[in-house]
Amino acid sequence: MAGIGRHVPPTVLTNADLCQRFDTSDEWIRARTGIRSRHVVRLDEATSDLAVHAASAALRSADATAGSSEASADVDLVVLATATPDHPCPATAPLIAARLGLGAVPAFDVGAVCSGFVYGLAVADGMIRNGVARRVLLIGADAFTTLLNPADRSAAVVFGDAAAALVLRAGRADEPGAVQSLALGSDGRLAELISIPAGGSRAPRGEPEDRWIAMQGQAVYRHAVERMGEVALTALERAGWSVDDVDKFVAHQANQRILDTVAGKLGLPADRVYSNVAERGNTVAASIPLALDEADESGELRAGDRVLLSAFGAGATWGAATLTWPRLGR
Amino acid sequence: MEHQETGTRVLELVQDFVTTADPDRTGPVPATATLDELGVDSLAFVDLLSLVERELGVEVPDEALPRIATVQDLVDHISSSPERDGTS
Repeated sequence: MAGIGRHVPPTVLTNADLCQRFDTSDEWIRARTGIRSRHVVRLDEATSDLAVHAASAALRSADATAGSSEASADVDLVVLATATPDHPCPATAPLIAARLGLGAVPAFDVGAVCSGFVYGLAVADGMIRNGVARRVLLIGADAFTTLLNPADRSAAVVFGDAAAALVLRAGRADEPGAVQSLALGSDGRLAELISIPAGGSRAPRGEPEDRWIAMQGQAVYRHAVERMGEVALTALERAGWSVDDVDKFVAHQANQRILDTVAGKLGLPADRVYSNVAERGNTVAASIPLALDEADESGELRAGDRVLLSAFGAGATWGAATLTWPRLGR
Repeated sequence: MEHQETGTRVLELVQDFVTTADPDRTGPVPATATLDELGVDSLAFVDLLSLVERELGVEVPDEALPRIATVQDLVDHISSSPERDGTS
């Protein structure tokens, strides 16, 4: 890992704003989600707009880390984790690569929704290990609020929009910033937990109400806490780490209840669990890299910290990774 | 396990769960009480269900979750749910 950056859209939606639209209260929202406010895109902002800003910040960070401008010039692969591409077709990653002026580099999207960043990390790691790429721009970006049914209170309170990006480079396995282990999984029997029923090849047009995201909140929580804990333990085992070795648990910021329950199951004390969900909400594929960037900037993540990542998302998909935090330029 | 025996055990577990969450709460939990009345919100209910499933070795399917509103609903669904697959 050689650079990191983020972008959150400037428009803030507070719990008080949501109370104007729904029969809800700040207390109700905070008790169930731990969320106080979230940033949302304007009508004229798309995922690539967020992603280009975050990627530019990550490339500047990579240059600062390297002490030269070589880092941003040498990107030879762009991977975008997103569930909200600018268009159903084509993929958004090539558009981002072009807007960044990266030339004819390979660029593609990875769709694993809230697990998308961990899946993308596995893809980037594999591409570097097998020599296809030496310097990868990995972006997690979503404008998920564009998929929310205006009448659905439970989804409206949870999601926010953001992008965050990492620059990953070839290096030694024992260097700080190297991915130590990965673990991924899926279960398509749980596809209906979080889904948009229409708009794909199964129902290209569908009913208007089937074009919004539909989420079975209780069942999502049930499977999320189980799978995020399990896959985290698998990643720890593959790294040869115990739970006690973990300095910071940076999980997908779905809601505070999930973070607390997963941490409790793993036996991790609250001071080792990073959370920015109160101000950001669930930003889907952006969630983990956004958390990493904010934790690094605030000093809650320090060079040398052993970091455990874990996520669960629509699919259902899940994934976890371990790494030692590097010193990054800004 | 007989239905009545299951019911008694589920009630005990619910009682422990709500007392742990709210130590000021006194008196037995009536089977007719809704989980909401007991201060168990939708996600806390999932935690409670997971505890009951583990203790009684059964698994309630996802589809049933939105239909469970009262303690008695929970007892009924636990009583009629299949035992957990021993291999999982």
